[in-house]
Parts: sequence; C-alpha cells; structure tokens
Amino acid sequence: MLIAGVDIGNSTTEICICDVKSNGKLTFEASAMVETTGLKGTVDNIKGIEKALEIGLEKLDRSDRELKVIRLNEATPVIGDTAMETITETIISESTMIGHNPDTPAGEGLAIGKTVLINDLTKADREVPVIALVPEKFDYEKTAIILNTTKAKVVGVILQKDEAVLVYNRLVSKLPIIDEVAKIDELPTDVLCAIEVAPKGGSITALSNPYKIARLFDLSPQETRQVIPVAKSLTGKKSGVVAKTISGGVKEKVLKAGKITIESETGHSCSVEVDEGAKVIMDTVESVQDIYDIHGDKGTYFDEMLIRMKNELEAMSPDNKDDIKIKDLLAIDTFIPVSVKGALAGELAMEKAVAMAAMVKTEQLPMEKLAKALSARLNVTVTVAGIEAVMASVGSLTTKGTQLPLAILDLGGGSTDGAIMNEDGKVISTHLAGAGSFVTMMINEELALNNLTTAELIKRYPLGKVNSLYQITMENGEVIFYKEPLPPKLYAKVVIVKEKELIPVESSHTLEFIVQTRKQVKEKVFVLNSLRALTEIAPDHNIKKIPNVVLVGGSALDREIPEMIQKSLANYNIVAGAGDIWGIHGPRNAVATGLCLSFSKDV
Amino acid sequence: MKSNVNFIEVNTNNPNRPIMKEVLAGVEEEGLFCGFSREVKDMDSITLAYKAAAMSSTGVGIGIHDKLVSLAVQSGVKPVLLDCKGLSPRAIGQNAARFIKKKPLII
Repeated sequence: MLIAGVDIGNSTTEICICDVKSNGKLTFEASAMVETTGLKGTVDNIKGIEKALEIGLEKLDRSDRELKVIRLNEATPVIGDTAMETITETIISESTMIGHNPDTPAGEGLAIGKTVLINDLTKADREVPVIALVPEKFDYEKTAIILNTTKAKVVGVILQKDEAVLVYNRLVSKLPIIDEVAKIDELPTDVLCAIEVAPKGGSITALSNPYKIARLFDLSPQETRQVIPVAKSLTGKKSGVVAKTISGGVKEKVLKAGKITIESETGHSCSVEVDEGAKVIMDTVESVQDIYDIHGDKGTYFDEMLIRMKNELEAMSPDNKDDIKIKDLLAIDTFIPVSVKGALAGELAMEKAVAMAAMVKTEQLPMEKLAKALSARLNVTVTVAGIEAVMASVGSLTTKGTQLPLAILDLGGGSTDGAIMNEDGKVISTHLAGAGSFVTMMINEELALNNLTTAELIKRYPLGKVNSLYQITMENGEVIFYKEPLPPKLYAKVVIVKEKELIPVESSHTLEFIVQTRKQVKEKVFVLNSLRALTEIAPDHNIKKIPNVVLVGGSALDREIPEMIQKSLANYNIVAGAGDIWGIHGPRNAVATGLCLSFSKDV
Repeated sequence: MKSNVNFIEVNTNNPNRPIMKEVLAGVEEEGLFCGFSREVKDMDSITLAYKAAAMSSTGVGIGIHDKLVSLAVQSGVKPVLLDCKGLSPRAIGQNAARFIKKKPLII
C-alpha cells in the first residue's frame, strides 16, 4: 500500500511517497516538489498537490489506485513580511551642494571663486577669482578658446557636457574641471563656490571636511553644523562642488518613522520610537515575554506592512479573523543610498534606516475543509496529521548522525521556525520573523538595486567580473574561459553567474562591495534569528543544553547560510549542519517525510 | 592632443571629417590618445577596423569610411567586432577607450 505525506508551504508544496508492507514496515519510494497553488490552507492548493502526486507516482511507474492514504500537515498559520523605514533624509534647497562623481573630471586641486556664466566672463571683475559655468551649447573647442583668451581670473570650470578632459587638454594654464553636471542652469551665478578634483587614485579631502568648508566659506559654528550632510555625502568622491547661497541650505531632516507599540498577554503595553534604532527596538521586543499583538503608527511603512500581512492571513483563515495577531518583530539597523531631494546631478546620500520583518499568526488554518475536498476529488483517505514542527523533527531524524534531543531550525522564506524534540518525543516550537525574503529586501535596499529579482539572484548565485570578452574572474578568484566572445554589454561588469547564464548587475558597486553586503545581510538575519530561536526553545533557555541542530527549509539550501550558522553555534559546542533527509533530499522534504513516518504510529 | 604613443589605431578611407573628429574626441575624453590615422583606399569600415585592431598595441582598432564607423578589438584568440548600432561617433570613440580601461561600455 502506498501512502503520501503532503507538506503545503507558503511557496512550495512537497510530497513524500512511502510503501507500507502488511507487517508495518515502511520504505521510502519517491518525492516531488511543486509551487504552491493559491494561499496555503485553501482549496486552491489541490491543483498543486495533484501535480506533485502525479510527478511522484510517475517516477515509481505505479498507478494512483495503489495510493490509499494522504496525510496533510497541520500547516502553521504563519506569514512573514518586511518593511524599511528611513530615518533621515537629505534635502537640498536652492541647490547648495553637488556631491558629484563623474567618471572623468580633469585637473586636480581645490578652487574657490564666484560663479560666472562663460559668456559673461568679459563683464567679470578681473581682480576676483571666478568659477566658469559652461552650459551644453558651448563645445570643448569654443570653451577652450574663451578660457585661453579671457582676462578674467578663472580658477575652476564646471561643465554640463562630458568634456572635462577635452577642455583641459586645450587649456594653456591648467585648472580643475568638473563635468556632467546635468542641471547646471539651476546653479546660481555670482555666489561663492568651491570645486575640488581629487588627485589620481585618491578622493577629495577638503570638501568632505566640515571645518574646511567652514574656512572656505567663513561659516559660523551654527552654519558649520548645517554643512555636515554636505561633507558626509562628499566623502570618498573623486570630485565635488559646494556653493553658498544666501537663502538656501542643506538639511538633514529627521523623518517621523513613528513608534511601535507592543502589547503583552497580560494587558500591558510599551512603545518604542523607531528612530531609536534596531537595538532599542529589539531590547523592547525581548523585554515583553508574551507578545499579544504589535501595532505601528498610522501611515508608516511598518503599519502598512502589518495591515498587508493581516489581510493575507485573513484570506486564508476567514473564520479566525479576531485571532490574527502580530507575534514577533525583527529590526536591523542599516544604511541605504537614497537620492538627494533637489540634487543637481542625481546624487545619492547614505541615509540611516531600520529594516523590519514581522510575523503574523492565527490559531489554526481550516485544513479540514481542504482535506475533505481533496478526499472527494481523489477518492482516497485524507487525514490532517500532526503539527508541522513535530513532523519536521520526525523527518529530520532520517539525517544520518542525529539523535534525540534534536533541535531543528526551519529557515524558510517568510519566517525562521525552531523546534526541539526531547527523548520522549515531546516538541517545543517557536516562529520568528525574518528569513529569506528579508535578506532579499535588505540586499535590494542596501545596494539600491530597485529590483527584487536581481536581489534574489545575488542572494543565491556567485558573482563574477567580466575581465575580457573571453573570461570571467569569479568572486573566489577562479577564472572561467569562454570559447565564444561574451556579449559586449557584459564587458567590465559585475555579473551573476547562474549556472550557464550571465546576468549583469546594473549598479556602480564593485564586486567586493556586493559580496560583502550579501554576506553581512545573511549573517545579520540568520545568525541572529538562529540564536533567538534556539534560546527560546532550549531547556531553561540555555542554548548549551542543545546537543545537535539540523537545518532544514529553503534557505538551508543556500551556499553560505548553513556555514555561518554552523560557525556561530560551534562557539556553544553544538553540532549543526544542513539536514539530509533520507540521505538524498538535503534539507528539503522534512515535513512530508515526517508525515509518512508517523503513519505507523498513528494507526 | 597629438602623441607618439598610439593606444588605438585608426584606419580611414575618405572619412567624413566632422565624424572623425568626434570619434577622436571620444577617445581623448576618456584620457587616451589616438595619434595619427592611416589612410587606406578601397576598404569598408569593418575591414578597416579589423586591420587597425591587428596593428594596434592594445588590440583596439577603429575603421572610418565616409560616415560609417566600426570598432574592432583583438581580445585573446581572434578579433571581435563590437556592435556600434545607434551609438554616436563620440560614444564609439569612448567605447574604444573604455575597452582598454576595462570600464563598462556605453550601450
């Protein structure tokens, strides 16, 4: 007789088919994995389940009539989601600053003078140093002739077109020149302006120092405070422009990110301002032992996320509307590049932000309804059997080298789940916010990709740099050669190496920076959450009392995450590693396997 | 700016002067030099580019015939023609230089 365990997850549906002999002996036969159809726990899932069973049975070459029992998991009614709250914002009013980084500025050094349009140079005061503003309509030859013949005391040049080197090469006396300033017409004339071009291989040092700016523009201590955002956004740049207008200013505005209110089961509630940062938020979350629900201030991204999650879960489980509560929150401090409001050349400023993931839970999903519908359709006995965490633990025990008590960490897309099974088979479990999709969001934001698909690919696959039309240097230094030339659009770019396919990363970040960001984000989310989960489920909350941990779930398939967790848990003398269900599935199929294995016990 | 060092070879056949000037400006803006160009009769821009690439010390060559501009690179085993469709003469010059600098090309 064949039995099947079916595990319906948020994103995938996995099945395990086993053969049960009359003496009760159970052997593994086949498994399959498909995408979940519809929201988990709803009748829409049947389509996916049928497809998975078809694939599995086809592998065995046995008819579906032999399939007698289907066991469904008591799907955990949990959803995770993520949001980002920016705390600071840089606004330039009246364009006082350009933190500009063109590829090819020319000359080097610092120059300060009054801004004058190039065709007004004849009218300029010959004693006063001036910075010439050159709009698009002047080409490099005309510009060079004017600058070479003028009587005015020109000390620096700002060009709208990308022609700095061309002009520089034609100048008799050399000057620092900055180009590619798209909105040059928004730069005011007759104001004091400083430009700086860094020496070859270096970055600017004067305009990135607030005290230097203060000396150049004769600023008061109050005004010096105001230019901090200017200096901050110019650090590490190859060139920069700062102009002083009378009324204008650069402000680092503190945004209202609102507050988070946490209610406990006992009716207490405490609030924390999001601006206080991740540490304070997490301390507050930890201080509330039994979280009943979490709210955010109206109109914030955080609150929008909570509403979105609650609505989604409500669609899955319409009868338990009032039980849908936010049960966990994970906050992480981060810096993200945001375009400066009012910037002249598309400048970015690094802004402080807090990334947050939350987890919403209800009492139970209406799995019985799904079981009945499935039974009627396939004409087999369908039972809802056991809690997901228990089944995952039972399934994980098929990993060689494990023993009880056994802890599992299910690293999913939306949530990180932990469970521990002691020698008597008793299971304690927990669900925490923040997992795979949180990592994807943070990569997307920190690298300013504006593309979740690219972020997901960066998370999963190794990167390489296209060094010539025939070769790629991978992030680990390995070199891959090609027989046919690569497309020129990939030339000199950082690419995602997805098996045979090469996908360019459209950003100016270096390979090293992207790799470092990816690793840091994974570490921040998964190591932190693993420790949080294990501390919660460990006997006496003492993590050292857990002998071994098996990692399962989609994110346990990652190249780096299991190693990171392994390394951090080694400090507590815990054996940890990705699971290997039946010795062939890796960290997949644990729940479906557990459902099959628990069959003989239940009958 | 004239120089004795030619990083990029340019072969021409009756080139349109303003277009040629733009190509050379593109190379120069990226900080490289083209030096002098060679006149070759009876060849199209692609053949000119291949010939130039074969002669260049960096393997990058430009061919200009009348108003048509081609860019070829000798990268490793055999010369490759880089697609210049829709690019301005200035951008083609910049790409020739960017290829040597190992900077992403303008597309």
